[in-house]
Amino acid sequence: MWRYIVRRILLQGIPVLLGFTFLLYLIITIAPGSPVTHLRGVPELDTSVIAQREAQLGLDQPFIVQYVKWLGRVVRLDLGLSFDSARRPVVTLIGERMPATIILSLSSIILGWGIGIPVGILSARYQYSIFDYVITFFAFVGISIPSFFFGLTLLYVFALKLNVLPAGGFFMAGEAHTFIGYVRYLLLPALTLGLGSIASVARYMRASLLEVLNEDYLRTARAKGLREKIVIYKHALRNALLPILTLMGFMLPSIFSGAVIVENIFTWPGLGSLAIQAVNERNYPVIMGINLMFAVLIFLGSIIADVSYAFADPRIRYE
Amino acid sequence: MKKRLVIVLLLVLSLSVLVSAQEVPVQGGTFRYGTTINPRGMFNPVLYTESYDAYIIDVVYDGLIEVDANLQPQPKVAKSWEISEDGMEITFYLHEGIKFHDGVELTAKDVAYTYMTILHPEYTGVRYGNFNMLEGAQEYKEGTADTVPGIEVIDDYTIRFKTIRPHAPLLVSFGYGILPSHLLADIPVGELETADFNLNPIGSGPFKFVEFLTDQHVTLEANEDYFFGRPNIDTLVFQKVSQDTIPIFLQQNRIDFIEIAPDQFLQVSEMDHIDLYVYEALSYSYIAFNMRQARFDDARVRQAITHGFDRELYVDLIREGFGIVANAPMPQASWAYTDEGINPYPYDPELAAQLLAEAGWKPGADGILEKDGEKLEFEFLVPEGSRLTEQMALLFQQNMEDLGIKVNLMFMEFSAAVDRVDAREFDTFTMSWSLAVDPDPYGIWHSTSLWNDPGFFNDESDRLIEQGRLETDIEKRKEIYAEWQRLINYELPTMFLNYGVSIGAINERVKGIDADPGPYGPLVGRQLLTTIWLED
Amino acid sequence: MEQISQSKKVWRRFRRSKLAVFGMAVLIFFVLLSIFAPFLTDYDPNRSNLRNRNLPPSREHLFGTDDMGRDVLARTIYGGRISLTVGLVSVGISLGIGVILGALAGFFGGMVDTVIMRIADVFYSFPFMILAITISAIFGPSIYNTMIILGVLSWPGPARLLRAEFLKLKHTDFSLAAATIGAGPARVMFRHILPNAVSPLLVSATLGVASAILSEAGLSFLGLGVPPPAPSWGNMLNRARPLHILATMPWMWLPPGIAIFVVVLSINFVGDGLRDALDPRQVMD
Repeated sequence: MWRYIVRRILLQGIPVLLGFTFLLYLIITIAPGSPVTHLRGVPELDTSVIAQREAQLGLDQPFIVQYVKWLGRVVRLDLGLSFDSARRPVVTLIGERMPATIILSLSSIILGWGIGIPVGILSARYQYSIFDYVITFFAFVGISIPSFFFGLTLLYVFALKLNVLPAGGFFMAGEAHTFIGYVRYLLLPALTLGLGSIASVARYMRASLLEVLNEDYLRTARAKGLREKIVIYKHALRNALLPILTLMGFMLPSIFSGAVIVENIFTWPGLGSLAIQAVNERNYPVIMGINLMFAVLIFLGSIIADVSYAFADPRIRYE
Repeated sequence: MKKRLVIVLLLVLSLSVLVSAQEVPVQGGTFRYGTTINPRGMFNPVLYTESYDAYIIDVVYDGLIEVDANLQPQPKVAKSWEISEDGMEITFYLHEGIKFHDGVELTAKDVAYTYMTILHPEYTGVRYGNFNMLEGAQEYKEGTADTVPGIEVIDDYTIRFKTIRPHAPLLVSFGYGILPSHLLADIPVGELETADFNLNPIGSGPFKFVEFLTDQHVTLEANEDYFFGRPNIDTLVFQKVSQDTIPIFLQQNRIDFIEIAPDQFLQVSEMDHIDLYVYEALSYSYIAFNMRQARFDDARVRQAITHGFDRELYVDLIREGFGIVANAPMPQASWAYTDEGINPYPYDPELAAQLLAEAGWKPGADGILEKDGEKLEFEFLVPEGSRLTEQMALLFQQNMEDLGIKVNLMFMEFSAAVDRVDAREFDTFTMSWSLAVDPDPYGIWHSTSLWNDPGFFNDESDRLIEQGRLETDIEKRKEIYAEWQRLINYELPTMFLNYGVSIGAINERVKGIDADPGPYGPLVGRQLLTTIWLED
Repeated sequence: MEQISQSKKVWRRFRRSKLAVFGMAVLIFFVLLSIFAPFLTDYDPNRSNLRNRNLPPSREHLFGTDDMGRDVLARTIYGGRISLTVGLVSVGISLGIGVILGALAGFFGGMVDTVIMRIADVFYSFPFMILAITISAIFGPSIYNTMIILGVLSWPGPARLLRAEFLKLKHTDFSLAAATIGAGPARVMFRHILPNAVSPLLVSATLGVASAILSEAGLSFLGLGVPPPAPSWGNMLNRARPLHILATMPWMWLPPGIAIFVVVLSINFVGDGLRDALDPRQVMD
């Protein structure tokens, strides 16, 4: 298995990441707008400062030189210094916010599976019942609402009107970090981010389980007289779960994307606001750092998904 | 008779005791100041550029002077100063016994260090332009001199600055926080921007820095040994709040002060425990004409377009009344403001049509004005990000259409828009200027200035601007700027839209607020953060 | 027994799902609405009228007016034009690129396949929002850029699908047999493989339209979607962000919100129906 993983990383991961970062750096460098734009807001600015700043940030060099320099730093696990006035290491900037985004993403995945799987199973078990139709309806609602809209509605109902949950943000200054506190701050954003996951997991679970329930080998099991319940849970479930696992790997990109908007609405201190700000300010090192990190995470996610699929299904062995 | 007098006196006395009893400040509590953007973490007064870092810097550090609500300099670290007859020398006399947060005394040495850093050849910040007229500054910057004769430490509590020419805006520039040289002198100036100090600042101000959680909040605590008296509140927190959820944060009592947008006014005004303060800001928004183009080089065209845009409607309906229609570049919040001889350019489409006709623009077959075969059609660059600007642009487009002018809206991301403006590849665009404390318009309007986007090259304007910088008497400066503004108001290189008006929402538990705050609002002015107190 | 054509069989199976048929009807309704928009309303969806702002539904304005005084019903109908066009064109772009590249990869295999798949991975690893923000911010928000971004970023999906079809059939006796009788490579590709690929591609395309409409809403939220004054369902929802509009003026966001919901729902029903109808493993009629 390790050989597989190493090969995947070398043959697939590295070239992909190289191509990706090259393309991204090219796009942001040739684009209009510049990292020194904000100097416009400084009154009485001595104009020599602009050229000095550009030289300091390496902007006076051709794109390929800048890219290679950046790559050289990345290999040494150094993502460079942010282009903004604080010039803090990009690794630190990302590190300060990453846990929050990871917590949010994980929570939404847990919600997605925790609610989606049982709901999907029940839906399949009671196929064509009222329960099934209602669940299917809500699942469709879930995948049709733009997340910012759902989030704002939740905030309006639970934070403003009912005042039972905070309006966003994270622990206030001086507030103790209790477990309940985490739940209160996480609940609405995770629900908003996870809505799409809950809905799609539920539907895929239902479809997958139904497909398996119709398999021939299960007919044999039933013919042998085992009770319906055991039939479902033992045999069908295990097989039905397999495609869902791969689903996880594919869901990661959309979760990270969705997190950007959700974090904005809920003032969640994750990477989302940093990413948007970095793009607006043409903060090249931060843009590259965040995108690189997400790309790596997505890639790892897909490997994990494939490997765990192979683990679970004894029929598969990867070449 | 005597008895009645005594009773009246007693009544008055007891009433005044009652009244003043409510006015006695209470110590303690945590004040939460809401901002929509979190600071960067560059808490260094000579290296910061973002206003969100400035919130923290303003309370952690003290400068030689401090700007009050009328934008006038008041003593702070300097207990007094003297300006020479020719206006080229300022001598500051410092208080004795001011201490930094680590207990070390602040002396003239620290003041010199702070300003020498700005003039240093390897200085990476942006403030050099404020001080490049100090004697010897240029030579020092170029590396041909080792010292700056323009900065002279006379003794521990006296420091003198000399300039090569009188420069009126200089005095107000001495508000920058004083750095502790004993902590920083050993760090090479070129490496100052990555120093740990910037994230753990030590100043001599009313609040001490405690911690900074990025994208969440910054916590500061009262400086018990503050030279000018300990602030009333114990803890000061700058809390990040997402724009859309501001009303909910206010409702849930999670912040004590935040500025709100005009379209949130109605909702917040219905909250009983929140008071609203409206105050003018030192900013104005505008629509700039590219005067390098022949069609915009004619003042009549610019004036006609201004007459043809209903700015009153824009302020009343789109801004919900939160704004003041502007016709000159110095806002009402500034001491240099004038309305004498200023043409208000009221909305008058007929007059506009007349002016355009005089300039040679006649309606063509399709209704669009044309002259010598060229149609009056232009692109209007609108940076993204503000709903109000978007709505203004739509109204402008419609008003112009009624005049027979075709405006093509070009919404662009801000940085990209600036790129186009810098390259002078625009017809018209809209932005706003956030102004410095001193009204000197050189940086924006002088013909040699980089930021002179419209391309306004006018000898008389240049002359007045230069004169305004040299004149140190404030009354005379006012006159010069009044004359200059009348010129600008006639020429209209940009159409002025509105002066900024801010709305501050304050929780009623906050007491001691100045009912008539200056352009920085009731709470951005640092002295107010030290005088307010909380009552729960 | 008469020879029933393949597509007729598919249609018959499709018709069996009531939901799918309902979905199709709804979609056709919206498409017609978009085409005949100018005949359905006299109001100019872009013309602001500041003195008529924020009016609730009335006889003059069936869905009320928005914060710039524009008729909400008109904007919903014209917005449908834009949202549906964005959805269809972006899917068209992604299918166009994806089918060509996927076919090339699947057919030639080897180095061509590896390179194309690596490039697909590159595009696939981009977290959509962040890249969309970057490109949109840089090249400016416009209807065209939105369609291009959405289309160009989603081509790996169809490409992978098509390539999988090729791989499936490559290893079967079918193509071996075809090769034996002397059928040329291009012929094999077009006559035998592509038709089989239609089914998963069609399903993917229908779902792609739904996803594109929602993504446009997300882009609008960040100020990067279809620029004003043109209405799209996404940017109409975006105008409802101020809480007082959300809470007290539902006529501004309910029409576009419900429209998105109904269209996406219908697309999903149609997609499900297609999947069931095209699945050869289903019990034959």
